[in-house]
Amino acid sequence: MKELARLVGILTLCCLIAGLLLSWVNSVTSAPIAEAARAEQLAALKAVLPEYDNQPDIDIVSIPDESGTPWIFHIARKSGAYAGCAFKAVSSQGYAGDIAIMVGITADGTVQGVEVLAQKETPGLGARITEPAFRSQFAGKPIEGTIWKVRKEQGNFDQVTAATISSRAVLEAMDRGFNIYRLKESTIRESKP
Amino acid sequence: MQFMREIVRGIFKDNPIFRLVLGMCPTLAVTTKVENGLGMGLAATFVLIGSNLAVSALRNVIPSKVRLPCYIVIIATFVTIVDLLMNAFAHELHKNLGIFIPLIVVNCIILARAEAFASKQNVWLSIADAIGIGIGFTLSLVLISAIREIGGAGTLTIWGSFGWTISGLNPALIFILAPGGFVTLGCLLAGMNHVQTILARRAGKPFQPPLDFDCRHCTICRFGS
Amino acid sequence: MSDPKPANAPVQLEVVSSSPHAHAGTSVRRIMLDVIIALMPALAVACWQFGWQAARLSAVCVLTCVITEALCRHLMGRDPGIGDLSAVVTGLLLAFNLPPELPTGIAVVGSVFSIAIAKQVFGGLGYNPFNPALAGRVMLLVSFPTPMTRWSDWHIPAPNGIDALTQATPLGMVKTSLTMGQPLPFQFDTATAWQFFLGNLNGCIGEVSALALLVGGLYLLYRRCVNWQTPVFYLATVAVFSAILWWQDPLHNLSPVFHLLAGGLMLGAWFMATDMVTTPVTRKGMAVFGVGCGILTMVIRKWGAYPEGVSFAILIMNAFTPLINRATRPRVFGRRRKA
Repeated sequence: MKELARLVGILTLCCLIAGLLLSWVNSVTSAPIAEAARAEQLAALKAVLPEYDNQPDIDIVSIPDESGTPWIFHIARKSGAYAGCAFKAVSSQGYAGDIAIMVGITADGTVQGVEVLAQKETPGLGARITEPAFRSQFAGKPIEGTIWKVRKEQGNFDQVTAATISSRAVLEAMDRGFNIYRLKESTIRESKP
Repeated sequence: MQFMREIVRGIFKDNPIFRLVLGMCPTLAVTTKVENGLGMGLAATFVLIGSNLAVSALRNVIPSKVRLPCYIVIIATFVTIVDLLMNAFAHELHKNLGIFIPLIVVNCIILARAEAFASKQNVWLSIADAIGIGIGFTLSLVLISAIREIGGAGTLTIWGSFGWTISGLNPALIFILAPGGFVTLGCLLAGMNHVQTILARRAGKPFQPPLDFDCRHCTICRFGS
Repeated sequence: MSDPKPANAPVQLEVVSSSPHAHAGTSVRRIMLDVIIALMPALAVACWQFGWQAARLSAVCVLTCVITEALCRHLMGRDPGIGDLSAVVTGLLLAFNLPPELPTGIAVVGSVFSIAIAKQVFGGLGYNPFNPALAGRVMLLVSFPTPMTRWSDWHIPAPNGIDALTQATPLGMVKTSLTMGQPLPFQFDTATAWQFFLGNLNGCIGEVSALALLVGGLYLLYRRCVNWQTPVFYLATVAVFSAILWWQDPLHNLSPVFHLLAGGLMLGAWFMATDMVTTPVTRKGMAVFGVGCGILTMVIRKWGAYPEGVSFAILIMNAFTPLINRATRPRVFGRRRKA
């Protein structure tokens, strides 16, 4: 009994010290982590949005889709006027896990740019969706009148060689976002900072 | 002096991948890019030094009956610390390695060194062992990932955008897929054993292959005789 | 330590049954020669259909395989051992599984992989768990997806009078149409089936003509190099499976005749699924092997990402061979059946 108590005591002490250590490290790092995450989001927004002078990471409009999942549209404003918006879309149809992208739309309804935020696709294959060769074909395309599919499915975009699944997932996520945008374009345009 | 000897032992004689054949899961999973192999190796080295230090310092305090849960708690703590610190102060690197960091907890190299070395030796030598094994692990990962990245993607990415693209090469995608990992690792293991056999024969000593990886029980070829 | 048997001695082949065992009076060399003879009609059709490309690929693969075999055996300190002709068969079968316009370099890589990694690393002929030619093909398909799926121009035999030009295999066209939710790309009538049977379709160089492959397969049967169980059960399973699908939904599935004639099924069923080393040794086991291959082939053709599944199906069943052998081990004479 005494032996058991000793074992339990030491294990508890061990966990306690580990817990205290971790909570201290967490308190030290939580602010820098949040800061880094915000900087990362701003960098992605800057890459896909037209020129702006507001803070698009807090200037947002939330629009729920049919299933009730909120889509966050970040609004870019230039001297108070609407300049464009960007949304984050996640596709679960990637080859290896979710693919998260950020898509920017200008005020006249063309795509400004696409950034891949997170992906776990095979390096050298599906991971090449992050390369400019694939992403740059979206810039300047109007949302209306473009078929947001890969050529294999009679769309307007070249797929990454031998990575149809990954390319298709990116386009699928974009297309879903555009559907929301079409439905609620006025809400987005008329939002106030 | 013995400190240096322990480090060299970890790199060559007890190389965790090619001699001890430990940590195969991260070895096969992360070696698709030199960058990933290097990052994984360095992160694992840090955890290894921390866990070896703690286990060795506490070796007379922890009762043997609960030593494994204690080791796991210690290792998991260091892994989480690495994870948080990296996320806060090396965010880019964390984005690349994020999914591999928690895997270090189940990397059997770290538990094996805690159990086989640090729980029996003093703190000083345990740190030497951790550094040696860590360097051995990192170098092996870099070697495997260099072969796989050049063969499979035609590039060599040391860090971020610092690297080379090998032109005129038609990359064979199988290298960066899982089967390519197995084939590369197998060929390297065979090559290492072959070189060591020759070296041992030259020195007039019998070659001792790593456990379960020798030719003495196998009759397929006459390699071992 | 000595080798269990002299390196280059003829392997004694035994009838798998209870003792007494009688020697069949045959050798590895003779069997391999028979397989090569059986492959000749298909090679002739390939050369007629694809011209010098077929001859080039066959020559490159056979040469590279033989050289690699000799090199590997030299490195392992054994006799060259290429006289048993098994490397020639591997080279021919690999070439038969390649598209006609494949660059020579890629064919060389595949041949080296087949012999060095899939065969000699495991100890050479008789020890390899997977069919070397198929392992080489799958490695190339995974590694170089674009050149491995680039087919030559092909005129679809046009029953309705419109002669269409395509660069896809029939199975590939079906897969593309169905994934895009479109109707089947062509009518499969008796005239088309006849064309397919003769070899007028797109595909790897050796798989096009069901007729030539059947002639070769029957020769192998006549020479007793293969047992009828594997090919018959394989083809029958594919036929039954596709017949059920067709009967259920004729708009989205093609007839069993199409599935028997298209793709690499005939080549696989007669020449790869009957490989003595990598398939079960008992007759019951061969039947199980054939049924397994048939189900996997159809599952991949119907639901998989690739249009054709013969090579994957046979490789997967190769992995099950030891299990099948164990499960179908014949009862020792005089022993009681286990309760």
